[in-house]
Amino acid sequence: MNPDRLQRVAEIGYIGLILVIAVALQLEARRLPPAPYDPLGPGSFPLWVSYGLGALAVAMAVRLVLGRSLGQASHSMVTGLEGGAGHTPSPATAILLLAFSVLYAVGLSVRAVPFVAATMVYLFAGGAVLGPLRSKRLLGVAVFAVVAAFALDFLFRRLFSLDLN
Amino acid sequence: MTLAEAFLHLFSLKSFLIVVAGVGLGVSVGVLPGITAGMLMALTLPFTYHMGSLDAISLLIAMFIGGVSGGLITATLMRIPGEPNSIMTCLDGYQLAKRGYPGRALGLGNASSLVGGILSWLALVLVAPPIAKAVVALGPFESFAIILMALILISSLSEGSFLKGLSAGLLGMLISFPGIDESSGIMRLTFGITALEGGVNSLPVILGMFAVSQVVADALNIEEKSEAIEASMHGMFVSFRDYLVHGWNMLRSSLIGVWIGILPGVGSTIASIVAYTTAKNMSRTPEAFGTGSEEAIVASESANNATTGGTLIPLMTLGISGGLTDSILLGALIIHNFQPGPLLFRNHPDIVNTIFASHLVAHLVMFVMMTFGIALFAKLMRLPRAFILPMVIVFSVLGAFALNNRAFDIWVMLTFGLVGILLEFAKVPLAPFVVGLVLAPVAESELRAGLMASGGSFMPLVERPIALTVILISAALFVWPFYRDVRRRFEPKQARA
Repeated sequence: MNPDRLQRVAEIGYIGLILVIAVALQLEARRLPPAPYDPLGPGSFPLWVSYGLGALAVAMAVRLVLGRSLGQASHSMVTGLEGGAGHTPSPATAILLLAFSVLYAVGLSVRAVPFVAATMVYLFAGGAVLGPLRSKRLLGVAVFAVVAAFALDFLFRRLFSLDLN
Repeated sequence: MTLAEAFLHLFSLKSFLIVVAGVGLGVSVGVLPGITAGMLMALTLPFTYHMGSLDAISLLIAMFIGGVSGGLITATLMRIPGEPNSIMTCLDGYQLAKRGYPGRALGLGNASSLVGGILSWLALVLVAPPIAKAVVALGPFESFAIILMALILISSLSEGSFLKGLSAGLLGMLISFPGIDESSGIMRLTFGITALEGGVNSLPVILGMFAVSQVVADALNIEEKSEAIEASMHGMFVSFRDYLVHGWNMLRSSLIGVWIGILPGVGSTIASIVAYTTAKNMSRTPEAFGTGSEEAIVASESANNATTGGTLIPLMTLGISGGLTDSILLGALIIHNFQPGPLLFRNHPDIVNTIFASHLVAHLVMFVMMTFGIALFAKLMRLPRAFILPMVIVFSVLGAFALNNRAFDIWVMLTFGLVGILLEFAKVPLAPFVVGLVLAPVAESELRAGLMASGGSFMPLVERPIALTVILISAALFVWPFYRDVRRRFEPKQARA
């Protein structure tokens, strides 16, 4: 898909998402009771935001239907998502790293795996996918993973007393 | 604590080492492309709970200064902006380094950063206290109007799409709503999800949107290769004559930086571009720009460091943040029980003077560190990203978790990592999102406090002169992008006619 088309699809998705959020916000905010002594109550501000979001979604949809551009952020705060010049982007690598990160978060949040083990495996797996699978490099990644996992455990569990397990 | 006492406190061994560590870490992440000072500060913030408030704020300020400055090294030696604000330095710093003068390019950049930093410190120390004194008389309606203006300003000025920017700001506001409503004690917008009853903390959201998204973007470009020029100390020491030759440029670019730093959401990248363009327009040798011009390096680096003091002025006096790093600083002050705004100056002179002193000391430490440690910092550019990127995720996960010891925050962080990526694909600016997220609770509580005092009447918004002025400016800022759009569409027709 060419970049312009991809952006257009993303924009349509964004408008749809905003509309859904505006409606959900509207329904939920309307259910809130008024507050004594407070002229606005807890629901007014969310309601105004939902009106604003709805109006902006409609305005953006109208522009798109009229074939006009919605513009774009003049500078990005997350650099490189569009890929850079002179090299081939590696979406598979990015997706794999993200998947490993989610698994790592799952492992820690259900407390199924001890922190050191989970971190060691994650640092190794993450480091491994971010480069060629050569044995010498993998050995370096493994050593780094072991040292870093124990160092982080010492830092956060012992020094900062974080309840990680 | 007076300013002199704050300086004395900073020169105690422990506090000084904290500043040195903060600057060192800031410069290090500035050197690493894809890892920003904002990310470092967001990752560090949860762990500052374990520190004294003054040391915690000094550390974050030092990281902020170090991060803004460190981008110079990668920009000069690799032609990659280590930080977005060093993008203009890439153009000429790299060319000068390639011609065989890497030390000269780095030395000029470093000296200009110091001058920009010192001038912005002067502006901060001289301008912030009188503003705070004037602003303390403002009521809740004025405060609400000012926050509204900041949100509209950041949507209309800093980014390319006003509609997208404004919607991002409103989405950011939305994230701050769930949980117990502070004014009434009523639970709201939890959608039946128990975990939302504790509210959504802004830090995991920021970590997700900027740290996780950036790691994914870096992984996407893992194949990217860049040739680095060897750093050398030769030429690092800038002579007094150089300061005289480039003095006017340094002063002008620093003033541009301070002014742009004060404006919410415009930021150091734009300051650097504006100062570069101004220097080019006023130069006797504009054709040299882009080919290794010393003037260009001076303009870009003076301006981006000068924004640091400018940014702190609205943050400290009005409690308004205009971007990622200052939103994190704002969050840090709130987490450590200091409410930014005019009363900060009256109630907590210790924190105000610590910020002032840290800002200057961090610049001096940065200058010395960059001058003598440039070769060491340059080595960081060669650190394998296979080690760094997964570590950033580990720190993000731990940072989110450490906030309240709850796994929910880890999921918030990962979810907003995906949201950040999707918004970036749709080219929706993220800065208004962060500003909306941080400022919405303040805006809501100010308006509700005002309405309770006025018996539910909105009239003070138009009856009080300052509130009315700010509302009118906001309205003009709101209408301006549409007017500009309409004018642009009609211009070619008139030309054809």
